[in-house]
Amino acid sequence: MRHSILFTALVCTACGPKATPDTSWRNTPPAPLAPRAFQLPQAETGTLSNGLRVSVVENHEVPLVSVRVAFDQGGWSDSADTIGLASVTMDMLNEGAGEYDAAGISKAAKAIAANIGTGAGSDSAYVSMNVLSKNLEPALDLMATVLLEPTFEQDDWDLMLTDRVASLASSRNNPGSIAGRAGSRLRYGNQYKGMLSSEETYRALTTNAMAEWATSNLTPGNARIYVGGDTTLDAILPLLEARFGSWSGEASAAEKPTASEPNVEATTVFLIDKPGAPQSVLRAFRRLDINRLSDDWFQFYMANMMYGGMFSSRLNLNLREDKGWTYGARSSVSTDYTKGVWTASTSVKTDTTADSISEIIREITEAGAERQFTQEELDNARGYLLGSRPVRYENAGSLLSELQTIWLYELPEDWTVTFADKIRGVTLEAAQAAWADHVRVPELSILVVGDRATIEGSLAELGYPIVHLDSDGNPMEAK
Amino acid sequence: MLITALLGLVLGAHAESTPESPIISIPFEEYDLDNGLHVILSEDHSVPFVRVNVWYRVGAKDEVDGRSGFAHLFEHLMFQGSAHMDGEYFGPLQRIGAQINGTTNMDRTNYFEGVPSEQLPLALWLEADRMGFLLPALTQEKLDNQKLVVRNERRQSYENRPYGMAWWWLFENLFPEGHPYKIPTIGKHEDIDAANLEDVKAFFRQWYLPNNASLSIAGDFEPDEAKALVEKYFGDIPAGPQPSPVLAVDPVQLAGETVIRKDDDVPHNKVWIAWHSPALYQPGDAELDTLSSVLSSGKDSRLYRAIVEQKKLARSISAYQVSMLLSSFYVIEATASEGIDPDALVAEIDNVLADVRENGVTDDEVALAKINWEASFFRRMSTIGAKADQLNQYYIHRGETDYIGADLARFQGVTAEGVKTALDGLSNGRVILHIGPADKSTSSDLEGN
Repeated sequence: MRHSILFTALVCTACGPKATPDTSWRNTPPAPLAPRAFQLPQAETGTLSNGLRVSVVENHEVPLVSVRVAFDQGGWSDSADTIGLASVTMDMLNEGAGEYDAAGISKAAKAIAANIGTGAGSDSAYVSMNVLSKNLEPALDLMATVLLEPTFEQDDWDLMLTDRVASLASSRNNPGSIAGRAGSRLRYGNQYKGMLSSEETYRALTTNAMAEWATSNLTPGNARIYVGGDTTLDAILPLLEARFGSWSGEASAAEKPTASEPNVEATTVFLIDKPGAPQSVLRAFRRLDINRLSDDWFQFYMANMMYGGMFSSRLNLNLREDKGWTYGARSSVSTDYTKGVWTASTSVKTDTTADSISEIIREITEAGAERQFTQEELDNARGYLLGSRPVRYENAGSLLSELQTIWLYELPEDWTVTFADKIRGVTLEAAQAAWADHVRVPELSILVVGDRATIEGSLAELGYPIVHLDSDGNPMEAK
Repeated sequence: MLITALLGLVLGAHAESTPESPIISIPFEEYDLDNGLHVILSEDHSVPFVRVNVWYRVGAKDEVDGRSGFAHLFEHLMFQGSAHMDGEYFGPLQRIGAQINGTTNMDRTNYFEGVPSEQLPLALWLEADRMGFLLPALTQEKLDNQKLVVRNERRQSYENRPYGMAWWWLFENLFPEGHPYKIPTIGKHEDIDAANLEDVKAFFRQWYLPNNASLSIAGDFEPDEAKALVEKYFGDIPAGPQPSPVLAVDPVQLAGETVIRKDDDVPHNKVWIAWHSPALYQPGDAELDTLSSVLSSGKDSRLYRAIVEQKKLARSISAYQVSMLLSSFYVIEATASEGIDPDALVAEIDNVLADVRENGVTDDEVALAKINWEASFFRRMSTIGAKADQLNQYYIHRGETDYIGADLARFQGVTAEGVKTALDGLSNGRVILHIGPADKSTSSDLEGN
């Protein structure tokens, strides 16, 4: 009897019209196909007669060419009297040049379907152009006019000044922007990226100062040209020579910044009130004494990947996938002309603010002690970085941007080529040691932009000192 | 970097584009499996990477009453594991270098991952597993967790961002009760919170069927190998009853002008003027995109010159067509200058529009818009990810995968007269949304907590 029931069941499973097919073969993840060779794209380099270097990365998939004239000058060269000067000067290039006013530049660009962009960050400035390859020459003409013949009209500056001042109000209102500005102030003090624009600093800028800044900083001695897309070095070099070959000007003598704000001696919560906010924006950071040229840079980079560098890192799996307190949490390592900064970032539901900070810190501590990183986590991080490499180079832009980084920060010329081997060479022990060396809980700055009335009590229970900041990151007087 | 002929985008014979001679094409082949799954293959061997992209013909418009936000919540659950890979999907994919995500909008839901070429089997295995075998791995715990995550997404992307609720208020006032577009994709907190396991199961069984999906693979693969893999992993997923997504609704007629004023924690007065407009790909859709270029693209555009540069009534202004499958809306959005009355700003915008209604746009303006549209098309189509997604969009929304030439031709065929007609077609009925700084004495009007 028993036997026959079993038999019947087997028959039904295998043959019945409503049979569920056996899908157990699906339990085994498929093996990869034969690996395919990946060739890093190559850059070719030439030089104009004034010494200006040109790098070209070819990509003929779409009939577009991009050209970027990059400068190693930017906000870092602003003084306390000229905060914002590099940024507004670069923006003003597009407002009037040669015979063109702002509308004229816009219309001339449209006529050839070109995008012309100008701008400055803290470390560099650029004039960039992207155009259908058939219109390359007129687009280069327009780009050269914008770069070499800016007019800096007072009317245009008046309009931009109004806009910049209004933008400040936006920055002081948006929780994410507040965290960005205040974070810069905490990391850099009153210099370099810590020099924040205000209405007063904008009003102190003049069109004369912009013209002077452009003359002394936008020189071929401070520049490199990066070209990508549907052209070749041989084809574009004479076109660039005709427009930029007789441009002159030496490299600036100014020393790039090295100073940085020391870390707090004891972990401190910096709180900026955002009444009624449904979430708190959180940043936990520590300044590093290493940068990309340091011996243990890649070791620390990999440790960060395991902690919070990707979706499936510890921080996000904890705060999002386990707790549900956030839409996402990440950590990152960044560097600039000074040294690096390590930052963990998230936005969490207001009533989980203090608990989220505890979890960020617990994950840091446990990664250094009872729950050290594992070989599997390291393999995952390594696989992520190496596996996604080919598609990074699908267009010319990534390699060109890496070449610019190599130039700006004086990295080894073979940085891109050796990157994969450097990642492969990181051992678990070394990554673990780098973590312990560079992320120290007692020296964390924790920035919170959130609803003070709701969260201050639970923040106080964390036991760290709380410093209240205004929306520009300046300490407020104690009540 | 091989030679051009092997690569994904191929130039047509004519350098000059005309409606008769599409200037770009994306080579592909397509077929259906026996279970109805549509398959699109587009080779591009420029880098050893391949993009897998799946579109399901279901979006927020197909949600039932009381379950707003559900299509998007469901999308989240598709990453939480399935019968034969019970665990969150990011781990196994990220460790091979995959780029992975999914998106939901009103009209459809898509999922995509880019993987190194040799990992195509893994990507197809996972996509097939969640298409065919999601429910056995579904748990209350996963649902509860993702409900919290999605509600935090709502807080982060909408509520805790200045003007972040503008879209919410626009949809709410543009569309009548019961309209499929009444509530934006993110949904209401209480509806997200109310979703239960039965809802998830029913939604999966109704919509997540091979015969309601299209699988697009673009990049570096061998077609025979890919076809065999697709058959192996997707071939035995059973088809289900053909679902009936909402594909048409009666046009909405707004009665006159609805003005909504929202006080909020924002720094400036902003206005949105919105009209109902022709649906995606319908006559008038490309004309309104062209109108947008004339009105607000660049500092030589009409609204910028009149409103920002000359009269200085606004800091910024932009006009755009929000193209959707059932019906679209057209928006002019402006940030008022300090001290400027939003009503005066709207009045001046109306003056500029009246001039276009009276005198039309010029042939030159239309010509400039066209060549810039063409260039932007190339810029958008320069990655395998964009190509895989675009092919699926053409198939799902047009029923015509090979639509790229016709899509471009829509724009090449626009005339100045057509632009004027499209503007005339924006009915007098409209919604004006004004969000400004709250009076200190009143509380915020933000929804949800």
